[in-house]
Amino acid sequence: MDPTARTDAAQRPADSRVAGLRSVSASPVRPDLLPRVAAGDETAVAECVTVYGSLVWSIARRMALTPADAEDAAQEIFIDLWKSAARFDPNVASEAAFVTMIARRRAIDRRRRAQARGTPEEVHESLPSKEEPFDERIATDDEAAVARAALQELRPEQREVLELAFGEGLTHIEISAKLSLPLGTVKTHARRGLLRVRELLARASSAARRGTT
Amino acid sequence: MVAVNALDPRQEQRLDELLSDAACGPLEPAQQAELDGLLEALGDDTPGAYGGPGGPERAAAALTLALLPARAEPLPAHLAAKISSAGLAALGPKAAGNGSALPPVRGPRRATWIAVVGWAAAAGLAFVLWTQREELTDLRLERDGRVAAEAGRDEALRRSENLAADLALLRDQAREAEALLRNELARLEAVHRSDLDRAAQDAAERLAARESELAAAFDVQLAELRASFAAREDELLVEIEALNELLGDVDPAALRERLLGEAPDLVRVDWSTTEDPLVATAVVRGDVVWSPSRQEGYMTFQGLPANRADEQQYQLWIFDGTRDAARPVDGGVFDVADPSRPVVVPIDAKLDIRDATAFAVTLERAGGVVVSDREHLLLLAAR
Repeated sequence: MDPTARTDAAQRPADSRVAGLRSVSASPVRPDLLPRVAAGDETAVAECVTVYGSLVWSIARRMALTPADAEDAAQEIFIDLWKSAARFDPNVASEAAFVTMIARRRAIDRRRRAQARGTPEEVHESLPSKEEPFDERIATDDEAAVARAALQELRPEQREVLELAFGEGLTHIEISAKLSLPLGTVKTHARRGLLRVRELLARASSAARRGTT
Repeated sequence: MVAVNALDPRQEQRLDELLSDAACGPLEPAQQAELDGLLEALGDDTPGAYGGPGGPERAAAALTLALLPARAEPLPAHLAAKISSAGLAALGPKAAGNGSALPPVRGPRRATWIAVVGWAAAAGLAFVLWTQREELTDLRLERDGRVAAEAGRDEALRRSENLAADLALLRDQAREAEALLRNELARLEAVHRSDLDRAAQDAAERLAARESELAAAFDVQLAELRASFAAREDELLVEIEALNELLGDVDPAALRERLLGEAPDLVRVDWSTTEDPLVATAVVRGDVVWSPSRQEGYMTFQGLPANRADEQQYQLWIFDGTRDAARPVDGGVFDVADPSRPVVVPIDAKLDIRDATAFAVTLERAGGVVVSDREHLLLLAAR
């Protein structure tokens, strides 16, 4: 992934992070889709695939070992999403974050199973294809803004590790090889970075709760 | 961050680390086993906060969203279609279930249908029996076959139920075995880790001990060096003092000063020039000091003309009141190199001077003379 090709929102400072996640959004909040899926609304299924398809596909492509594996992963992710739709709580996480969590969890599971089977690692193939911007509710996600703010606070070497881990889907071992850093250092950078994001998210979340009560 | 209990703080921290690592990507088998072991120990208290606002999985999701590129390849159309239809299929029974109060159309309803059909067939059979007695035997055979088939189906159903029960049991046993293995693995890992920890601690202690040993040795050496330097410094100071004294000894001016300060019976007389043409126009200042008790004395001059030491030298004569006035005592020869600067000359009396009454300076040939012809009597200092 070209790190310069971020959205404008990526460079936008997240002023909203302390004020709360769901209360101060730059874009009008559109109703969430997953509660409708959970209620059996068939049109919501198609909408979900349209809105979150490229997000899920992008995660599956990045974390899967082969293109065929990515297709299987995408299907598995959506099956999990339909099953988990009822568990989605907009007061806990944004819908995009919820979808991302499920997608990552599935993709990581698959990758672990593939590694356990000893599947030879293949290079991520990137075929030239038409690219499109993400749905607005992904591009303007408040939790992403909090994470961007946290990234700005981190030391450059920590930030680099997080960008490779979450932007490019590299494993700790791959990052260690790419940056010529000891594995322990990579893990520490990743943990520290995650911890900072966790702190900011928790703070923003409790601020949002205070704002709503 | 993660709400846990039944774990000690170290395990809690380790759990948090492993969950963080797991949120980044697949764990190594050993770490996965360790994580599973810790989660197993937690039992039903599996950290729900893992994906909560303070959980690592949630942060990983936020970072993933934050680091998305501006544009990306959309989900391929064929895949989107497949996923949508699978979604609708998954939704299907649920939607139907919501819309209808009837139970799913399966087992019981089919049994009712079979019963109705069965009864109808029986009624038909009775009618046929009644009307066509000659076909009775064939029909009886057919009925026996149906009964046998139904018995076979029931048997098959029973067997499949038994098999399903066995399978469920096997699954439970496999799950139990897996849990046991994981526990054992986690325990072994914990033991191994504590060994490593202990070894690391030992090494750190040894290192610290060696470090303090070296530091102590260094301090001792430093103190010794300091002491030896201080002693050497004292010695050098003593030597410097001795050298200074030695220097003072050979400096006539300093010796004269000391004599002035110390001698109780000092004789001091100023020089005056004579009519001799060598000094008639010169202005000669200076004096002569003499201590009879120490038999020590000095002359000072300023303005006495310089002599050519290889040809002529100045010579001092001391007149002793207890001796013949015609034979003054030789006080030594000396030179003057620079008339403009004061010069101090120690008196080198060749005999004891018991009563110095006068001092005279003559110019003689180089090396001096025993008896002066007083051709050039230049200076006089008389008491």
